[in-house]
Amino acid sequence: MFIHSFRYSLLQFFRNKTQVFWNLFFPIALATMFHFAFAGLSADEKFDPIPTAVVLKHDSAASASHESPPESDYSLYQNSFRETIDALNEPGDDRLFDAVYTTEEEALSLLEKKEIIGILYEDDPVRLSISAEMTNMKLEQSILNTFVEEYCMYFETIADIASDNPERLPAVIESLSKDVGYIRETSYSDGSMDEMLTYFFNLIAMTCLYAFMGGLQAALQSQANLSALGTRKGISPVPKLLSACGSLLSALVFHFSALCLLLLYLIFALKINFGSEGGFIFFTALIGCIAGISFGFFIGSLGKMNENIKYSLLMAFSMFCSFFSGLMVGNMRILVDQVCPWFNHINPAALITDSFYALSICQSHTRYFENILVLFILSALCCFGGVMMVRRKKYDAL
Amino acid sequence: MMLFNSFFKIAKKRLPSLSIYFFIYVFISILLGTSSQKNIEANFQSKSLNICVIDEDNSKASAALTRYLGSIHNLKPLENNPDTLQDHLYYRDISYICTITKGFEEKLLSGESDEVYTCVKIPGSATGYFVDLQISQYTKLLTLFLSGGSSMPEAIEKTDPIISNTAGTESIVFQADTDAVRKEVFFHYQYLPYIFIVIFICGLAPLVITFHEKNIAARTNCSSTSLGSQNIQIVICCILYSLVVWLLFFLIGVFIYKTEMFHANALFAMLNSFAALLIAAALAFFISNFSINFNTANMISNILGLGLAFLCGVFVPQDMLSESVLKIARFLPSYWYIKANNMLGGLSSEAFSLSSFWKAFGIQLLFAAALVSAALALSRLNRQRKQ
Repeated sequence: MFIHSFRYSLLQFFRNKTQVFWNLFFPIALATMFHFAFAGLSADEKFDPIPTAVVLKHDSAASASHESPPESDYSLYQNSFRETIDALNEPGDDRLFDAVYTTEEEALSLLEKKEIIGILYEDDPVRLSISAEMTNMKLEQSILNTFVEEYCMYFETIADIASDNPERLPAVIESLSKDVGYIRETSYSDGSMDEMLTYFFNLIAMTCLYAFMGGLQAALQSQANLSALGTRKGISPVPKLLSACGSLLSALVFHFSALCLLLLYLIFALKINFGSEGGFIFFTALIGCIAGISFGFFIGSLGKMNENIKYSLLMAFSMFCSFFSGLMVGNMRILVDQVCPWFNHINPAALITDSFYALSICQSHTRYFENILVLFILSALCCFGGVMMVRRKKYDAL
Repeated sequence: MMLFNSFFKIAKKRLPSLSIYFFIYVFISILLGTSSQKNIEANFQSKSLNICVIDEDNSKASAALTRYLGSIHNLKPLENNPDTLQDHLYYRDISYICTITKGFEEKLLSGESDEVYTCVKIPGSATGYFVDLQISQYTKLLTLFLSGGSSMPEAIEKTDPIISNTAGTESIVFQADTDAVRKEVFFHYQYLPYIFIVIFICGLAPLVITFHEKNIAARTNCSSTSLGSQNIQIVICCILYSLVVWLLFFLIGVFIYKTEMFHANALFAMLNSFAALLIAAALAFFISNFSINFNTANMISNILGLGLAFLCGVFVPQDMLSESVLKIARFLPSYWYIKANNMLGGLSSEAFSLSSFWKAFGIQLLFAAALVSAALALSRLNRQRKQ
């Protein structure tokens, strides 16, 4: 009888277009949109040479030709400025500028058209002009500003030392020309730091929670006062637990199959790098799915509210959990951690997301198993609560 | 006026499910409106990032560097635990972790300043480059004074005033009159293409479909109301429905942003939103030719609304979309809506020009016209099939 219940519930799930849409096509469509929309996230963080116009102090004729002017007329300060700009304009990893030598009028026109980030003037001291309207380019403007500050500072410092301790000037110039790497870059993990991954983790977590639809259906169809099928099942000689278990298992098979297809699509079609722990990725999806089904089963068994109200409650619950784990705002998890950290330890979406994060970033599996354990406990509690609510119910009239 | 009255009776029934989208939108708008950042700042202020400095040296030099970084950036006091630090960096709560290694001051005094710091940052990021530049700048200046014969306290004393004497960066305001409008006003319009599509496909299309239903259509046709009158009543209903939705969103804007909503650029944005309204209404009109129920309409609206929103830069700035995505997006109406709105609010790297605005607006009108024509053709085809 268990197999009978399992088989027909499974058929029901696969034939329900709404379920198939929300659990398979919608996540796949959303993943595709994420892939296109967030592809530029990491590129946006990357440092690219800053488009800059350089206006030299002497006549505008040479400048207008967009070529570097002759060196003869320049003081040490001016020569050094041009050499610095040229050096930082050289193609390569250390390139700071995408510089163009031009006249002031043309530079202003380029700045107004937002084709450059700033104008460097070869004055004494060097000046920088930026557009107040380019507020989305604040970081690039600040880097230009830091460059100008640094440039002016060294000259000021050399002048200072030259007046106080002229005998130490050669040592200072030697120190200035020494190429020193003050900073050593390290990292805490070999995992990908791509911000886009967070959105995919959250998408999978949302799909796992959408499995509530299966649990809800199993619960409603085992209660005679909530569905016609429940009434029919109620009068049949099948034990309620057996029939409910069959429906729950079929829900798990259906939702886990949909999740596997989603994961395969993400890994092979969209080439999302989830790390090397493929087995654990699918295991997390399975546990997430069980959690989603359990929540649906628990709410479905709770009280006499009709299907629509229970469905809306569960939908609101899954969106609430997904929002606070970062589906809409990527760094939401860390914000929640600062305000009420305990919430991240009971929010199922955050637990699923953090499990994927732990697999991708953390060296050990301790954090991962902690999350899985909490998810398992939450699922067990919901299933137990659901069973306790539906068992031994008798109806005088329907 | 039977049809007219029935239309709004059914619309009233569907109000609760549609109000979810409405309240989400109001919530986002209010959230954005609370940050009253001016669009344009006349005086340049360097970008301030969230960074974390771990001082293992606890010397005068390390304290001076920490003080300097704190004067520019927001220093986050975090527990020196790799897991915690990694979490904050991964979720972009902080952009940079600088560890001043033990023996920092001694190394500087002995002239061995190689790798006196270790840093953890987003690999290859501009923010990381920016902080690297500042740390190197400060350290170099300090070593210059040290090699110039100063002691460490003297070097710090000399470095601090020089480094705090910021460069003469001039901030030029090209469009003098835009300083009265906040960016948030344009963010108010930014999400409208998505909201309109959802509200119109889930709200308006099922309403029109109700009147196209076989039995209801047959009952209406055999009544004394002429076919012309029926069509006019439905069209008036659709227009009224659209205008009410449009006005409602405009009034929310007026409630949050007050007179800023009547600024020239904001009025252009309002006009732009009218084009988006026409497109959403035309799309709903087109979809209403297919006999779909509310669930199907919900699915279509989500896929269409989210699809257009993600591909055209409603949720993610257009500047961040790849060139290939933008090439495809040019064939979609929301792309032109966002392009115009970004230009008006200075939300993108494209400067505002009136001709570009009218071009984007015109393209949207053409999209709306094409959709209406397609809907009419489909409707005619359906009628011919039925006959």
